[in-house]
Amino acid sequence: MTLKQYTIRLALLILGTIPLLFITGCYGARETDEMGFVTVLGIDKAGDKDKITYQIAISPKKGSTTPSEEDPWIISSFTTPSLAETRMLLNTTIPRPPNLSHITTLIISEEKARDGLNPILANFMRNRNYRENIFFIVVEGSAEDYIKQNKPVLEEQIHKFYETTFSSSNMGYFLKVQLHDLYIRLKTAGGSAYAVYSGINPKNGENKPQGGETPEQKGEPYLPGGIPRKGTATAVDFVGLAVFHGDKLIGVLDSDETRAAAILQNKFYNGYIGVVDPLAPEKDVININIFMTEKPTITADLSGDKPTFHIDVKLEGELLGVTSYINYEAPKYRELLENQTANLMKGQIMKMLKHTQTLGTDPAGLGLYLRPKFSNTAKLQDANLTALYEAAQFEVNVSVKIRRTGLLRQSSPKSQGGTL
Amino acid sequence: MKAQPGNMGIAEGMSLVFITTSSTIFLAAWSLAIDRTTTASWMMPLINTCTGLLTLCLLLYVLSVTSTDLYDACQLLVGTTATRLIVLYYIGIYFLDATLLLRQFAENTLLTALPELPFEIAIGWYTIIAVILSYIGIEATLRAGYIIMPLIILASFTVLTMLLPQYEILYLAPWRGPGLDKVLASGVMSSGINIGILIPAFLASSFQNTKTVKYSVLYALGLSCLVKTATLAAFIAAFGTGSAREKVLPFYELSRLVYINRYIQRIESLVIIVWAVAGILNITVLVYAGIYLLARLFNLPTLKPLILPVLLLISALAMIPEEITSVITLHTKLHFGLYNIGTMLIPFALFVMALIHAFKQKNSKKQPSCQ
Repeated sequence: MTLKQYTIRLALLILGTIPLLFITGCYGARETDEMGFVTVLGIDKAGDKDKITYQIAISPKKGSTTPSEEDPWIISSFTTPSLAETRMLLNTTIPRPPNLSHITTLIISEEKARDGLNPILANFMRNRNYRENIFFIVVEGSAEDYIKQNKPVLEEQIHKFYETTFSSSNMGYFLKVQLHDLYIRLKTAGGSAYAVYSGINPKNGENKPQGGETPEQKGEPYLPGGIPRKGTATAVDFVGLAVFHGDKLIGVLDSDETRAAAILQNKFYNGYIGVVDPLAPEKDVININIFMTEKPTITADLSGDKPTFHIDVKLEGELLGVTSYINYEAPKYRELLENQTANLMKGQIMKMLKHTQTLGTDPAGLGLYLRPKFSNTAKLQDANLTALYEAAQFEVNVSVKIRRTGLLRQSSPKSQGGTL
Repeated sequence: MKAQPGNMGIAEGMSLVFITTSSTIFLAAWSLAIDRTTTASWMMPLINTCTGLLTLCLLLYVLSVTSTDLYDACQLLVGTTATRLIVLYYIGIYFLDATLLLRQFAENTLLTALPELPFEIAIGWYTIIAVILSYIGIEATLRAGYIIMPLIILASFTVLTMLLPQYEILYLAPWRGPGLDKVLASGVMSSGINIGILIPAFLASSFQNTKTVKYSVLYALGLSCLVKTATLAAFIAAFGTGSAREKVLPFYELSRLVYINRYIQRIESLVIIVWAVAGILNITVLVYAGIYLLARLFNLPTLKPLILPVLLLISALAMIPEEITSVITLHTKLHFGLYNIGTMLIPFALFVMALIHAFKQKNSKKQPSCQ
């Protein structure tokens, strides 16, 4: 390379570098303190219009070191015929342009969900501001009231409350449901859509169980608002599953049924259950931590006029407490307890299956196992998998293996007349 | 020709073929493919890779018989007029493909990252970078592509791995989709998507030897097939066919879906950089191939003066369509139609002509000399 060529190239490089100084940062970029970050969106039915509620995060004030007494958010509700209009109206009430890309949770009232989700989802799936991993909740009552009454204590910001709640939802009494889960269930044959079911608890300690528990279980199934509790925790309960027939809300599953649906979908990790003591059923209870270590084996048979689903669930358990002090660690007693627990779980699964058959919805996605039975997609399209599910028969087999006994090797009888 | 590229090896060849055949995973092409072959769409890249390999065999035979590059081989086998028609066809489709890619990548930049950026500026930036790369030359561009290639593969498989909790394998059932016959037919018809595999044959004299062309196409096509098949299967398993067929940007949607926990999410901004680079390289390679053939066709001593006017024309053309849906639809129709002339019919015709040529040569050697 000659000196002249070198000089020209160097000059070109410098000329090319100078413009870079003027194009730093994103085009149309705004500072975070110039935007109003919407974190939660609620939708209620308001006659033939929608009431949209925005929960907008307030960023900490500059220089503030002590936590504010006021809620770190503002709530605004609008009644308009379309979501786009509402966004414009929101912009007229706050000085910062609203930014919707940080919405973590979408809350729909039960009344609105019964009208159908398709018109709502049409906005959320197309607009790049909304992400498919927004959590989706159906609430008993009004979404606006729910947003107003949910004041978390452990988390300062509301988006963190929802993210933490659903990131740890592995006990089975409620499931993590994102827009994506809901939408693909609406669009794909072989399972029905479902959503988290939540509501406000009056916190008066009143017990309102749903009933219908199996003879082997000590606890009772619940829906939001029915849990007997008092205290200073936030008023919302996450318990149960809102289930859909097509895009319309058709019913709700209680806590036990929700756990059964979670087990069949391999979305259950571990949970705590109180089992009626098989040898002292009147008053004693055995507390067990049950967990799932392998995916349930589900096969479908479509050879007859009705499909049959063969479901094999394997659970494992750890003893947490035996109030009767019977030695359930010993093989002969352990088998009794394992059968008792297996019957309990089988009963809850069967109850969920029968209930959902009646409702005409398949939240566990058993219809997916029918898909390979069709030789091509045209035949699958002709079939109505939900109708097949409604007519199906189930052969459910649950086995429970008590693997661990906690910190006690064996239970000793209760002392009657002094210690040994 | 003065601007005849230099001494390219397997790395450059692999980069060329990989970039031109795999960057479609970042576009809507595969979403539209799901309309045709539904749950079995993941088989299409496998099938069109097989037809691509067949094309490679045919081309290698043509090159071995004629001991030259594809342009000279055409002249030798079909004469000057037919060669001009063939080369004009390839120039046309390379420029057309570059135009459609430029429009789509520019639109996707607006859609995914910079919604407030004026559309003309997005097109302008892509064009400026393509001009600079073309001026630097095909060798340097392909070496840059060779550095980017592992990043594309790594980014793809990282996203696919992070989506493991989202997959439902039963969404791929019925396993045979609309029927194996229809999948096979659609797979063969989609061979046009691999139009880039012809470029090494045109640039054969710039490669070290025919073996270099052979192995670079072979390896790159294999890698590209692996990435496309895995991505498409993952796309269906994550979204189901009902939702997947609606999407404009399959790969972007996959990366947007990653949600491991509240700390590991929103990773799509990292992937956008990868596909933007892949898109620019693809546009550059196609434009360069078109200009190279143009220079050969008109026997021009150099091709550099053509770069700026051609890219300006392409950017102007890219801005003509009024909306993006027609661009996506046209691109898919070309993949399934017009491009197949270039990936299947012309190579097959040249192969037949090469067979006849070889047969004639053999006979002429056997005949005793009259002198």
